[in-house]
Amino acid sequence: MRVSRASVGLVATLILSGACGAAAGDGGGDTDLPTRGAGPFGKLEPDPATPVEEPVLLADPDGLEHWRAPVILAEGEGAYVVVFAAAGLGGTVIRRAEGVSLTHGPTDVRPLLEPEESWEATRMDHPSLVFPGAGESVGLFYEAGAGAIGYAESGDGLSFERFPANPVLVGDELEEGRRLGEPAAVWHQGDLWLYYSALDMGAIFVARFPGGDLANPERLDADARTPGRNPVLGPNPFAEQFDESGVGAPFVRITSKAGRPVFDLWYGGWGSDGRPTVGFAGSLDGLVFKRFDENPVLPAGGVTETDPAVITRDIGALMLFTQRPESGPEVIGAALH
Amino acid sequence: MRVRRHMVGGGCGLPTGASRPWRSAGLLALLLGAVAGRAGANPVDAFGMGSRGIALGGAHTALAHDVSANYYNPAGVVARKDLSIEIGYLYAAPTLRLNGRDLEVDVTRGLTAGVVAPGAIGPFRFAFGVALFLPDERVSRVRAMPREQPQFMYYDNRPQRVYLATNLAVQIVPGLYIGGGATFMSRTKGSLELGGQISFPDPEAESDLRLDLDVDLKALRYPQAGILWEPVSWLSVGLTYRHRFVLELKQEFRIAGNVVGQDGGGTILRDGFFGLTSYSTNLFQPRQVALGLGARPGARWLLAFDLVWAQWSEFINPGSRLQMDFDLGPFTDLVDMGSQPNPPSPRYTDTFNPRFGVEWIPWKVPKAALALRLGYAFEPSPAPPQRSRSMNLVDNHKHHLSAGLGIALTRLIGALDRPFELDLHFAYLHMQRRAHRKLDPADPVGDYVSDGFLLSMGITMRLRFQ
Repeated sequence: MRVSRASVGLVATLILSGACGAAAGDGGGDTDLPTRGAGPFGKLEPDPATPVEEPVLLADPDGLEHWRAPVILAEGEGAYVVVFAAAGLGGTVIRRAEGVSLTHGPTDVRPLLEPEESWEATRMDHPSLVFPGAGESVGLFYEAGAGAIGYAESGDGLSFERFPANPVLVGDELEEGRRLGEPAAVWHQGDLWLYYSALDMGAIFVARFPGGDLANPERLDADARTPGRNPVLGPNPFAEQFDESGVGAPFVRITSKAGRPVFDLWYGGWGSDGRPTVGFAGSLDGLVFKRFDENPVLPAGGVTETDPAVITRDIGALMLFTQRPESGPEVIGAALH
Repeated sequence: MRVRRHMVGGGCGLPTGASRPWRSAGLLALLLGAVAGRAGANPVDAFGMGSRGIALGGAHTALAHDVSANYYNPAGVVARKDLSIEIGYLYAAPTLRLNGRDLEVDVTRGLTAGVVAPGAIGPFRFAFGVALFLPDERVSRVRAMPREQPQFMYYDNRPQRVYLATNLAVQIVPGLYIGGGATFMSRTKGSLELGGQISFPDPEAESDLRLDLDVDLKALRYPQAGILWEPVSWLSVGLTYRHRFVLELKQEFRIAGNVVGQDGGGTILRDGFFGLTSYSTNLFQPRQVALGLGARPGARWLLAFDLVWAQWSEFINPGSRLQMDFDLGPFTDLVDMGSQPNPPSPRYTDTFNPRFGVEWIPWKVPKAALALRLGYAFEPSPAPPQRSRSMNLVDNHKHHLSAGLGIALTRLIGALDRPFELDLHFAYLHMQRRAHRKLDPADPVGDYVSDGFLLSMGITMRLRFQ
């Protein structure tokens, strides 16, 4: 009997997967399975039927500005509001894109915040949203100036008022170094927890604002057993890892599916080649994080990819991220888990 | 010939110098190593047999005298002198949820049928019994999912198969009966062998392979036995033993032959082979002992109680164990398949399941009678909370609530001098909410909550002949 390799492969697959049951298509029991959403993520595949250039969802139509550091707000059925930073010759500002979906670009892009105060210089970058109260109230942390973190709040999500004592956090010039940025804020047990990058150290730290009182940050130590203050995530101590040289750009989410909070942390990490990609780590207390075994969760694509922002969908999760192509300005891409 | 043998559970790496067929085999190994069978028990264990027994909460070990005795207590098939023929239907719809989302586990529905045929040689009484559950959709099912994928162990794969029980029972003395027999299940065994010549570097070009395929559906038997004692007319005691059985799934893949260079490039590897065998547990039934009591405190009342011990501590992780054998000649030492330990023990524990039933006859006239039935059973879960990363064999504590009615009509048809009996049941199974908190903070599945319910209904029609 002479058979082609393709036939052999087909038969082998049918027999071994069918008989062993690897093909689970016939029959239920595997619908809507629980998932952490950690990854791996697959970037959107190019689709000539859509007007977007997958995996890119958001990019300056003129190709002049860097669009980066997205934050996702679920809006309606399959469409999102995305808050992001736009960096051009005049500085870096924060904008809001409406009606972003996986098949078409935004229906509207409008300015949200621009540098005004002296400490902000010409740069407001890396927005992070929190919801401090009921209704439409939105809080926004941002990186600005030479490396500090500020806060603004809005009642409608459109016009923001700055915290009078900005910046709320500056580098301690010890473990953190001088420049801080890339904030990621979450509420936990009535307190506001702010994760941020120590930009000079390649590490992620956390501070807590008890009851949301921005005037009194408490810098937390992720490992009280050792002297000095420890980051919640530092460069990977193991060699030849994608994040062995440094980590940053945290995105934090707290879930509680079995009666206890669990912290999910997506982050950008970079190795000896200096090209960041995205990894995941989890924690039960928000301080001690364990890296995901299958890191990185975003396949390296030969370009720089960082600034993850994740939102859970009906099935799986959607990640937006900053992609820096070999040429041209930064853009915002999408990947699905 | 150098042969290497590896026991692996998934994950392998081949050096870049390996040829594509061997790489394909490696990928196949990865595929197989990443899947887990599904194990539970049989459909009758899951839902019961016969509408009367189910309506009584499954407390039927001391009361089953009909076809359902083939499951509940084989001794019961000889307790009555009538030839009994039954046919019925069972429908069970599960709603099993993880984090509030229905996994859409398949509905189970199927035909039940059976015969109890008594006989006597002088004073020596005996009876044969046969019971069958025939699913509507599948005669048998072999199914596996990725090893770490959450799955409800009791109901996912459990009911999707034929159940056939045969028994022989004898009367020792009036009121004391023993019986035993075998239950038949089906299992699958398969192998695939490729042999011949594979061209390198492009296998599409000049490969010449023979294919041998062998897949068997084989019967597997396990025994059961029971004793039934009716010391007085209002009391019966039953004891049943059901043996443990495991449906092992063994699948083999082997590719053997020469690797030759293209365009007359000569033989690169002569008589090489790569063999892969996957072992997994497709179905598991624990050893069980059921003790039952039946009491009739009055002419119209019947009380039933069962206590069932199930040896779930022997439950085997259905995750596949892989064995690889290969001889790649001079390249053998270059191949590193890696290794991974066998699936860990699921650490299930034995259970004691109490079952209660009550039957009341509110209406009885010479030619007809109506019986109402209620039942409750508690089935504690043998499974611990699923906390480790590789373990998601989910189960919950189960509360069974059941109700039913029975109608007996005498002289329905002139030729039938024995009652025609019709039993109906409706059952609700509540799966108690359970939280599974993972030890690993970076677990890919994360914490989850399991709960759900299962609705079942059925009908059994019985004809008796003297």
